[in-house]
Amino acid sequence: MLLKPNTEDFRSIGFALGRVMMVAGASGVLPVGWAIARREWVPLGSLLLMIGVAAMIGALSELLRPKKTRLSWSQGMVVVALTWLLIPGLGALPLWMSGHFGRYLDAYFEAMSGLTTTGLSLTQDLDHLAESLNVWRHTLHFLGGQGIVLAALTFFAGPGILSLLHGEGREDQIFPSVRSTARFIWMVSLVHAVAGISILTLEGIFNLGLGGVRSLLHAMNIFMAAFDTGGFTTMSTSIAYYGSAVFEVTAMVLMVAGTMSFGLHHALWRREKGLLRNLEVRTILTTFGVTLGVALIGLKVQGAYPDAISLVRRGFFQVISAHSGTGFASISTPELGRWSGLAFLGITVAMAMGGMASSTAGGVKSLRVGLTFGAMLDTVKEALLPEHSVITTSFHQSRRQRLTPELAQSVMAVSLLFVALYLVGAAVGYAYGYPLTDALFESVSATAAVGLSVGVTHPGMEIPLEAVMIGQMWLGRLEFVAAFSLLGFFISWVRGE
Amino acid sequence: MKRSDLRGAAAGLLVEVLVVAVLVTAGIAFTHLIFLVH
Repeated sequence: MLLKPNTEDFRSIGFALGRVMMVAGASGVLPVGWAIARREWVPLGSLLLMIGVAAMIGALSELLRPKKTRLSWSQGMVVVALTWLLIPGLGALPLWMSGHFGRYLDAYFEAMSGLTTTGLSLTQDLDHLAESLNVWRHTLHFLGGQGIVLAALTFFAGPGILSLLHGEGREDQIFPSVRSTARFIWMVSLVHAVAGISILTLEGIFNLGLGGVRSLLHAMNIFMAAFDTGGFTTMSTSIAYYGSAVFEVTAMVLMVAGTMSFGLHHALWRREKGLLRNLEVRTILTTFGVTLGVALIGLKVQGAYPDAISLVRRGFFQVISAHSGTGFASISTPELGRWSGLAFLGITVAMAMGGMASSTAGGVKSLRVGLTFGAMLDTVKEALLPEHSVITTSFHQSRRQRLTPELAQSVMAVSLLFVALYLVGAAVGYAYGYPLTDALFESVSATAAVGLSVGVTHPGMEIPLEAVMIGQMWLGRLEFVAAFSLLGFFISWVRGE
Repeated sequence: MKRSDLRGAAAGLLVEVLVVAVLVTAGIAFTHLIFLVH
């Protein structure tokens, strides 16, 4: 029998959502500060309107204050799922008012792409978008990547909101308390921010002649997009705009940092030994090596670039950008669209695999890929060995662990759901007349929160296809679990007793 | 932030830079190999 949610359930969920919306609104302070400093009064108005709406929702949620603010696991999941649907609605407001989007849905797509750290963009004439609104697009990456819910925990922490972390796919409980986990994540981010922004700003000033303020703007935006494996850039030509090896290398280091789990960051921080024994580290190094090798061979066979250095500079950057789930491009969209055969295969598989669990990257995730491979090996062994042989497989991930049938089943179920979603998106794109390879590429890019594009995503794209891609970004970021909890909640509401 | 935190952070960043350096070097070597063979 399904239990119908009661009034207290709705109050708890509404109250938590109000709190999260207030955090989202508060994050508008950064673009507001930029708008004031750069005298961008019209964007300032739209940003203030957004903050005002967020504050109003937050204030109204006070009316719903439940008897106990501690959320149950299922309530937490529902809050997470709704958070990732509602914040893009709020974040889209200033973008839509800028006049750079054909319709509100395009602005919502952009905000969803920002919050899910995807990086696909529908901005028209991005190069002339107000600086403060560009900062806002990248702030959405930072919000989503660092976990907007985690930010909420930092300010309104209560131990009961722990379940929210699980809903976001952050499975590592690095520290015993949520507060110290949040503090550690902010500390790692701060160190990378100082290093990354300093290098990029100096390069912008002294080598590219961008000037102090513009260099800082570009550096800040690239840091937020790279470290949170987002993929938005200040200019429409992405990283190719700079033509700078320093920008490319710095972005690569930040992308690697972003795709690493915070558990691994913590282990590095404590200078732990033997990290190469971890299944996740081994898997990502293997899949990166294989997909890079395949892509480089493909590019050579295709004759895409005349010499080894041109080929490796572009090929390497694109594969690391794809595998980390970032989506920066050091080549133009038409040029990427010309990658075919093995090069296309390498980059698409790299996108589908994704980064590590408990990171800002998307995709199937390396731990699942490694465990799925282990479970498949078990099946082969079972078929080859005598009938009554007992097979036990273990793997090293922080400590020695057993690959139980239950674990294998749950890992394979999520992996299969990802593959199914890749295919569904590709089928819809194909149905709208795009070549199958392009449709598949864009579908994987959206679901795995990458953001590389071969041109399917463009202003004026078909509304149903746009809606499907929004759904893909949402489902992929939540890794299905929270979305299923939301569905279960609605079913219980309608059919429960 | 304590001094030990900063040392830990520097060690983490250094590892990330080293990983990128090793991967880039391997990529360049592999590409040259492809050009030699093909």
